[in-house]
Amino acid sequence: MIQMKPAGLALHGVVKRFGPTEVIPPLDLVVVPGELCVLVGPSGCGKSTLLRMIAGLEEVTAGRIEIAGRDVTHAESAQRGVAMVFQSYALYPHLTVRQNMGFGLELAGRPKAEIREKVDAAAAILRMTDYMDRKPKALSGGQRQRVAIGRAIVRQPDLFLLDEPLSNLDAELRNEMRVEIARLHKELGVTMVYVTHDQVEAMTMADKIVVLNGGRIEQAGRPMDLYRDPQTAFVAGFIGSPRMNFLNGAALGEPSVHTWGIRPEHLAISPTEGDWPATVELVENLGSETLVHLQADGIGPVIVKLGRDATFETGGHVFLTPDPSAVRRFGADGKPLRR
Amino acid sequence: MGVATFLGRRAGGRKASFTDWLCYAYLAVAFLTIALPVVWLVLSSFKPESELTQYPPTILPNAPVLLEIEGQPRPLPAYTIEGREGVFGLRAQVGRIAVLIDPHPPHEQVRVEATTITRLAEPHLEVSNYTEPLTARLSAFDFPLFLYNSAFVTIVATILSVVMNSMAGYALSRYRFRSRMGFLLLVVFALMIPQTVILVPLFLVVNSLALYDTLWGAILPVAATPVGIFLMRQYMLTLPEDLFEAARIDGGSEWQLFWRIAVPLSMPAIAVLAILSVIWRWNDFLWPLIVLQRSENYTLQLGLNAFQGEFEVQWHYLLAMAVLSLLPVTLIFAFLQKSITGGIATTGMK
Repeated sequence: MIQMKPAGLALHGVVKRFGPTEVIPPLDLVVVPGELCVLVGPSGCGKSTLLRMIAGLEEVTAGRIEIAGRDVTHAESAQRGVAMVFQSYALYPHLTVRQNMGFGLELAGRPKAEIREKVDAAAAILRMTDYMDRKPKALSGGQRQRVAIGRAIVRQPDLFLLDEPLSNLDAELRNEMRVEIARLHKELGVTMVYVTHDQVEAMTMADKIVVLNGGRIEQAGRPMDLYRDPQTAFVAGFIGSPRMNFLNGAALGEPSVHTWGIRPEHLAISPTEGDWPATVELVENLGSETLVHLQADGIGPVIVKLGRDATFETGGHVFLTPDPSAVRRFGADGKPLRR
Repeated sequence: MGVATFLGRRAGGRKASFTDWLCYAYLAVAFLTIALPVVWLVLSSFKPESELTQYPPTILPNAPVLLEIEGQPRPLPAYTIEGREGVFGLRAQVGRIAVLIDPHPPHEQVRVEATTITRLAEPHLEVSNYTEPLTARLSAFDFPLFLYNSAFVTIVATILSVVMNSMAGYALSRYRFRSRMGFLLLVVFALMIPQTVILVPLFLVVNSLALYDTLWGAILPVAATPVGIFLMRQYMLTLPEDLFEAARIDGGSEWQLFWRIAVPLSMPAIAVLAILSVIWRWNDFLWPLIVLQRSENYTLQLGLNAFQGEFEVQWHYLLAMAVLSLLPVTLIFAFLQKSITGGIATTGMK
């Protein structure tokens, strides 16, 4: 049977430099055992580098990495008790699914019976039992993804590392695999560190989201905490879809406010009365919700999300009213202003 | 795919386009250029010695019709004479005058202009061209020994070449180390130097290592080739780095990464290298000629040289044995070619 012993992960003052460029300034992060921690951020924010340092594929310039309380900063990948799922899946093309999944155990010289048993158990969890003798090229994208995850499960790692595992799948499959990975995390009770640039994945899957920007942690916390109470303008803009409307404070008569933020769902729209007159530019009807792109007079472009089907004429004039309790105000340094 | 569809393939579209015609014309010229000499060699290898020097040359292997005539010490070749009935045996030809003898009594002797007579020939395969060198152990040609030497040199050199070149290619493609570029440049420079330029220094090295006149002397200097290293490096560069990182996380050692991941995935390149190496080593003449002295160390190509004496060339044996020496390379090529076309690896990546 597959049994996992979830391990904690701790990064202490971890730094990465490529030559003179500092990709990751000193960074601290703690992931408690059994947690699914999502590292999220725009491309080039250092999230993949951070994951590769945890995996031991990238040297740590300074600082310390601990897995299950053990200092692994300079340990080989194989000695860290981690398994990694790559964005490209990185399946061995010349081996069958079974051989792919058992490769790690085989290299470790484990007995054949044990390998078979563990591979079969992982295949059952992933519902891949019927495909065990196929080569990767005979599998669909979702199946390859499963094999890559299976390869990680078989090794019974202390820590699962997933590097944008869903970005090569189409939208429907991505939703399916997202649920699958969340289910696996619950069933196996393992610690996972999951890298993505997709905030929807982060919001739906994470126990803890870590928003990275330029190698720095902008904010770490539970998804809804980040959504409700973003600690920086960057987090406010990154979490939530469509992104928060950022408006110029001066244009709204609040010159002390650098960035005035309101989420699209916190704006009321009315044909007759409201705070800001606006012109409808585009209406995106998604069935269960409607996104209205408007130009607010003297304020700038604004998106409003309505939780219903609605019809607006392009070029029509309407009025917008923000929900005062949902307004977020940020200073020039991107930090929230308390009032 | 049938032969007709195979030969009738087009770049696309329902009718053959101009480029299709051009393509096939080019292929036909190339095919004939390459195939005709080989066909000519095979046909000639079945001709009797006398037929090889016949002018005008014949295409198919023939043998002259011989007539046993009473009173003549040996059979005479049969000729017809313009304007006369019957067949005559040619006894002598001096200048423009030919002397022929009527096979029927009273064995009349006829003197005619040489231009008026026509030789009679019949289709004939001179199998003895093959059997005699193989069985009779002609003075300087020990076919089984030469074959063994050639096979030994070819097989060992190819194995060494594949192992060394793929290891060097792996290191140059995967490892980041100081002077990596320097090593690669050395290899590329070595590509540009023709073998003849380094013959003398190579000979001195081989001689000082006591490898002169041994088969290993013919093998070791050519085991690692710049072409091979370059080929393997270029191919291994195309293997995705992720696979090696995945294997590293799976606990693979450096050797396992090479042997379990890089080698199986580089099979198409290895097959190409193996084929090239077999062809090079089997057909190699110059280097073995220099390094191998005693005839018991001769490879087949050197052995063939034995038919070329100072005063005469035994063309009929030489041609027949040349055909035999072509066979293994041809067979191996036909066999390994499949692994080139069929073995291209997909990585399971988009």
